[in-house]
Amino acid sequence: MRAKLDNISIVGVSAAVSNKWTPLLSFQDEDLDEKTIKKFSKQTGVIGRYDAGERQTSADLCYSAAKELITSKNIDVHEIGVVILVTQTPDYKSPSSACVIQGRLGLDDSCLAFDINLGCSGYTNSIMVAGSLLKSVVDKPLALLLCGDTCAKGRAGYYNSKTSNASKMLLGDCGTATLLRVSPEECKILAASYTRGTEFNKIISPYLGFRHPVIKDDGKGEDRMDDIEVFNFATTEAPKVIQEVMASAGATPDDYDCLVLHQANLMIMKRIAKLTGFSEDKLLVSIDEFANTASATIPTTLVKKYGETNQHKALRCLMCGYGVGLSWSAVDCLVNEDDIIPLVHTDEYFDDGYYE
Amino acid sequence: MTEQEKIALLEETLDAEEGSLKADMELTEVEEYDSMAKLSIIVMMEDEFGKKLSADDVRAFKTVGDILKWME
Repeated sequence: MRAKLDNISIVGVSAAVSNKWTPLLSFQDEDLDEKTIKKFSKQTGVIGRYDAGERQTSADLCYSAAKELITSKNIDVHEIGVVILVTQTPDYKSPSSACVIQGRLGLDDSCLAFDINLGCSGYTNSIMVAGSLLKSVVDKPLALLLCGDTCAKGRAGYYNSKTSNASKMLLGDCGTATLLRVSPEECKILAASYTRGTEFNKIISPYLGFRHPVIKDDGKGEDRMDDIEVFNFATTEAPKVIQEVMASAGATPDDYDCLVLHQANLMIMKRIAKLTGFSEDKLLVSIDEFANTASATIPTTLVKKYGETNQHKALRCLMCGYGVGLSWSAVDCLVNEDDIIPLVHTDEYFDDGYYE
Repeated sequence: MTEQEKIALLEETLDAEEGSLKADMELTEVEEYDSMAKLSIIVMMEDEFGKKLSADDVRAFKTVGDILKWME
């Protein structure tokens, strides 16, 4: 489906990580030599990643990103009417972590809050959800979109280049916040979204839900990805949806300041850029420092590139997320460079009263 | 492209040493043939030969020669 959101703009972007950055080379041991790690880094682009603290969750990282954004942009929290958290690693089975964050941020009770379970397509898809909701809200002009995952956390798995059990080396922990505002100025967000549920098992964590509550130990690991199928999917469908959005905007790669792709791995990203006619200098990269952080990668990439710069310049961005679902989407939007704030480092976590 | 040129291109794609690959080698013996190498082969095959390999095509590769046969 295709969407057009008139008078909705992105007015703030932030990202938060822990203080602990782990280089992949530190995983060297008797089963994993330096040469293998360096080769993995060259191919995927990952040099290291941030690890959330033992008690630090996706919701904590998103909360910290949101709090800093609200403070630095001097936002009146009473104006926020929607809070959406996109995560595959929520705090609880219930309630939605977005509800807890609404309370922690001191937002009005007059606020709609819920979680969305999406991965790598989560940011671009949820811009559509948050923007559409915001258009129908009559008394509050702001929506807070939070995207975060702690994909690296608890992954005790090893890396074996033959079986591609790469979650230990490919994934990272990060939380982000994006503010959307109803804008009187002429502006629009264009988007397109796709889902192919028949391919649900190409990327899947099948256990610990209600269908398979117990992990079956068949040696294949808890998280599964058919990497060749996924590579072919990503390098076929992402270029198509990018071209579709460009066509609906009547635009070409020259019209954009940057191509912000989900940071899946560098080989996929370069392939998508090449197939859509974007030069590599427009392809933004953050996977080196942050690894693949699922729905958090797109805003995190903006923060890495523009967080420290303060130009008052509207950047025209073409964003594309693709992955688990299978699900993929692209968004054409403007983001002001000075609305993207510097990276937040925090070890803060929420003591919810359930620790011993 | 001669057989030698194909082998050289495959060695370059796999980041393998020059002269290390032979057509009759089992891929299980090729140290560099890992999951990322398979993706590099897919890219090379499309860029150089205009062929799109499916996951099943890649799974069917048993020897270096099986890959060379596609390189036309």
